[in-house]
Amino acid sequence: MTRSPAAGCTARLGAALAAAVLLAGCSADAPMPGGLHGTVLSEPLPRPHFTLPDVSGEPYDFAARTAGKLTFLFFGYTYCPDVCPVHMASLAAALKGLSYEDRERVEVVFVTVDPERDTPERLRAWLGAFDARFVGLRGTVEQATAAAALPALPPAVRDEGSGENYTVGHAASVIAFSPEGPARVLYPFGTRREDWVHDLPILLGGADGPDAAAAGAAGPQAVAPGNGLLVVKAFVTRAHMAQAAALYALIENRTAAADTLVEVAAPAGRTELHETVHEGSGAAMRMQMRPVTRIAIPAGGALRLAPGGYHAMLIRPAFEWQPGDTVTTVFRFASGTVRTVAAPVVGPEDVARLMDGGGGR
Amino acid sequence: MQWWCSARAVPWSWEWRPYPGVWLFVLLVAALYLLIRRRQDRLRAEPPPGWRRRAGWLGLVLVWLALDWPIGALGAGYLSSVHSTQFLLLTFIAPPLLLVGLGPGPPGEGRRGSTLMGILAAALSFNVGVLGTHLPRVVDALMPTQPGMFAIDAAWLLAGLVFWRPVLLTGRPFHPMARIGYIFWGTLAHTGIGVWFLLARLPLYGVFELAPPIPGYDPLSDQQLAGGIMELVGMLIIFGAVSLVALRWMQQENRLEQENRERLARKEQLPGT
Repeated sequence: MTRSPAAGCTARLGAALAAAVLLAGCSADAPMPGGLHGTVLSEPLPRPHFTLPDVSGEPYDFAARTAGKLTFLFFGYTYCPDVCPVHMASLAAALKGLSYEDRERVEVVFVTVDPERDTPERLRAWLGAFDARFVGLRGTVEQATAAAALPALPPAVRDEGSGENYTVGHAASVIAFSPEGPARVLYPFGTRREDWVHDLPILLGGADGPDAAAAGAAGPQAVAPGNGLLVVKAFVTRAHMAQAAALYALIENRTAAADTLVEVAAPAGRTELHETVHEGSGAAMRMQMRPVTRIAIPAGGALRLAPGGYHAMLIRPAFEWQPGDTVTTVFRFASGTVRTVAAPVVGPEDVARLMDGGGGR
Repeated sequence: MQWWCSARAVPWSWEWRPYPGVWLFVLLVAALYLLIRRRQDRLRAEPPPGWRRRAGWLGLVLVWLALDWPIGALGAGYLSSVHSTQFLLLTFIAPPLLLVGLGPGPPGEGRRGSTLMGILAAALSFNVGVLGTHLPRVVDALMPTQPGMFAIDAAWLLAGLVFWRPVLLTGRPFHPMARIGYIFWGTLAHTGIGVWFLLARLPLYGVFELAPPIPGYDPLSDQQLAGGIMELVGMLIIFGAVSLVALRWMQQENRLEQENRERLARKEQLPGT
């Protein structure tokens, strides 16, 4: 399952689902800078230029068709059991509260990352169940991946292990592009209807206006989209006695500058970065876990969070995760880069094989 | 395998799941019920009628149905309406049936529960328990964990037993008017919560709003349905209980009046009077 991840520091953390509460290590009850409940970006994300076929097969030029509108862009798939329908339902319900004029200024664009199963008819019907005005785009997997890369979203990854009813790991955030062009806010999974209702008037340029809201976001809590840091794979182990779970991942730094992993956030009471150290020698040697606050990633290098080395511990998980669930996890780097991934839950016995082989997200 | 139903946020499936903790809990409640019932029976001159026994067993079955798959699982992490059905079963329906099954108790039994302070404490604790287990912060924090969900379910059953005990299990006179007032005042929190569900314009609980959706169910509509169930079924039970108390009161008054009439008639028939 993917239960509210992370990056969204909502202002009502305490009242939200435990998972939502624990997003991204935000301080409880602390509203985001600028008064928005979404995750405000310190640097605006340019509106991407891509063209994909819509459900009628007509080319849809994203930048041109959404120009001047508050635009929500999301990459997902209609067979998604949780993140996609919850996001779309919450957004659709919140949009119903807008006046006709304001609603006309909003565009919601859903790009399928699973074109194999998401036929145009299915995509149209699925989106129509939420709001007939939602725009569905369906290209090839490669086109969807290329489009997602423009706003620095990770590529979707198909879970090959689950046969016909496979799931697809994908970015769990809705990107909000202001009518002026760039995106200044992200809405991760865990964003509730009340958050949308709160933020929509601001995003549409109400009392404070999106720029005013974002202008206040330049503080240290703001995050930047960043480029070139890729979470290649990530796994969460089954929660042990509901007390703790381990997070393992492979992160590649494809930039020319070194970076540092400073935080991992997941729906758990507390998330800590750990290093496994060996003490003593011979028969007296024993392994111990030592908390660390930062883990460096060299330029052009990779960071491996794996058993016996660096890893993250999710203490008091919000749910008793079982294999088959997915956990939305947010990685924060010193450069301001934030990466959100849906990490599948696996048995501890599978970690080594999966870290060395394929799969995961 | 889970031992108790809790919000897991995996898509809902009609595939049966075992919850051994629920079975153990129901067995424990059944054992306690039988133990108390036997103790009560030993103190009575006559065994209680069969319908009381059957009511008690029905109460146990309802406890099991409320906690086990599918009601327990659906109510724990998917549908607010099923959660409110669980609440009604565990606080408003099963506890009075279990108490009826135990019988009215011999004279003097339950005296502590029938003192004014005891009654006030029962009503207060019921309201506080009902209110506390419906606060969004509490619900969202407890329901995703099995111990948390167990705590909510057990609190409901316990609160229900505490609340209904003064109404049904006192061997000491508890004036019918006071009983009626107790039922109304004691269920204020429940009534308020039902109205809150009906009128809220946004989903109140993240645990249901962010759950993998069940096709055809919107979290807000489901929450309103939950409010409707709480109000409609809850009110039916409250008014049913009040009507029963009033009916028994009326019968008692009629009986007293009849006895007085007969006594007067006997006096008039006595020679020399």
